[in-house]
Amino acid sequence: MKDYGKIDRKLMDHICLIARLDLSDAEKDRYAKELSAVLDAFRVIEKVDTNEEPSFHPIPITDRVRDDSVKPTDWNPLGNAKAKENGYFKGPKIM
Amino acid sequence: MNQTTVREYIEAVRAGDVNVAEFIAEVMEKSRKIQERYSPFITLSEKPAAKPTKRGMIPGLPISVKDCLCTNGMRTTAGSKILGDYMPPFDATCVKKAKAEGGIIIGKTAMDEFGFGTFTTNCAYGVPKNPHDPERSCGGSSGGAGCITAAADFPHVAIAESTGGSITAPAAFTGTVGLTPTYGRVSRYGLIDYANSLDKIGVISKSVYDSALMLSVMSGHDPLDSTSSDKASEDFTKFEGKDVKGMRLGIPKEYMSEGVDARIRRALMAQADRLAALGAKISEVSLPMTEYALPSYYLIAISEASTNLARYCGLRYGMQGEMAGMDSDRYFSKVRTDGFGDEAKRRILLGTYARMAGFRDAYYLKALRVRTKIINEFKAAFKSLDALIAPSMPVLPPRLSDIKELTPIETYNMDILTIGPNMAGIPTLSVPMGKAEGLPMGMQIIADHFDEGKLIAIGSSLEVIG
Repeated sequence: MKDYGKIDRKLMDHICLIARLDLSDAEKDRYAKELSAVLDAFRVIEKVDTNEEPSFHPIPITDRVRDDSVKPTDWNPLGNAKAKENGYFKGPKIM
Repeated sequence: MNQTTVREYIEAVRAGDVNVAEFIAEVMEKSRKIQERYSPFITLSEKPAAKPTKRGMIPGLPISVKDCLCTNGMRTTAGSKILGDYMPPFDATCVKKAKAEGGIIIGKTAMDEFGFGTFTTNCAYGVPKNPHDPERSCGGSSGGAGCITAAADFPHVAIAESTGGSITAPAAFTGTVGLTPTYGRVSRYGLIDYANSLDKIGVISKSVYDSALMLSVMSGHDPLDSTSSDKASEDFTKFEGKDVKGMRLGIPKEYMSEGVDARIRRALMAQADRLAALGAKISEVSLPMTEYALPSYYLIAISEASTNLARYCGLRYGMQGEMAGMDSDRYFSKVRTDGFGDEAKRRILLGTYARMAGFRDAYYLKALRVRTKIINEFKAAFKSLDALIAPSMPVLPPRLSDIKELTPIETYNMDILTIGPNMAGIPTLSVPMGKAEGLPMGMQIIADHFDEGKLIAIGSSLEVIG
């Protein structure tokens, strides 16, 4: 388990990139310190011997499917969008 | 009509003795005054009682709704700046049901951003103050719900939500009743998710009867939530006052450790004595997995939360910025950095890390396996016990100024007594158990999956004897 829970600056930059958060150097340093302290405290679970299956839910959940049918809607999907054009959502430039 | 109970009020409405429109206007005036004093709301309704009815289970009853639940045409922020102007075009199923049964939505209550907190201090829209001492916290994350329930001198019920203790904490700190149902008992459709496998919609109210009534309104299968239980709704008020004689109740010793305020432990033992006097059989039990509940809970919660919060990227709804001259990554990062608060960012970073390739097995999957052990431990206890009783919170409501000094891990540790049951998805009921230094304390009753009836029987028996 070595290196787990140690968040250096390089790893912090990578996490921020994946999480799409644009943090200042000072913020990155502060969060890295806090996250390391939290993860260090959480390492106690390593002591637990776990042969059990993981519980993704607290009670057994079975997959439910519904008919993939088109139903009328009485609300405007674009109602909360500020950037829209010709009945479409408008997003930033991808390429 | 002001000090009337929910039950008396509903009877009076059915009998035609109340002009509901006038009464709700009075309630709104009072709510505005309470808002000035204690800030329980993010948004107050503008036209709450358009079509009052005498029909349904809760005709004319004032209902507040935690702001993570969608309300049609009424601003819903989940306590976050990033959803500052979000107007849902639909009602959450629990809200829809409350309205269909005659309930009247008076406002949206304050909460920690997305539910990330224990004290309702991680707020973009003002921190609610505890009506028992305005310098202290209402608990969280459903702090606004606890606040308005404690402050209201009119019949009212709050729809709240818990992920790791967000109903129990405010109920204990504000001297109110908090019911967290079994996972899946109430549909999560229309809930702005924190952690899908942990979120439960419940109630904060003045009495156990009120919580039982509201659970009867909100529960039942919903095809719109694939995790909602098949169990049909039932009348949970029938369990009120049911005899507790012969019930086997356990006090987990891990919930009575030195870390729990001695005054709270004494109060819990006094409650146990009262239940014993009513014929319940009390014993001490051990739940050794309690030690591992907190870290595994947080690892699961932050992993699910960071995934859920990925959807807030400045498109379609919520905070949206200027796109010109920005590529997509820069735009998404800018909106998210501007829109999320400090604790939300912390949990996104933690959750992103815990799910990263190379760490996922050690953190996220390991935590899910620990959860299996925790569920099994509770299940084993309930083979010989009807319910568990324990303090709701380890401390009295803290001062808002002291909360600022806590480190993240010290804050997370405040959830130590509520995390286990929430991880296991089992129902709990927090009931008031007197005061210490003028501040409320709470006792939680914990039962097996779908055994809410036992909680209501035990909780209401303590109300009768005061």
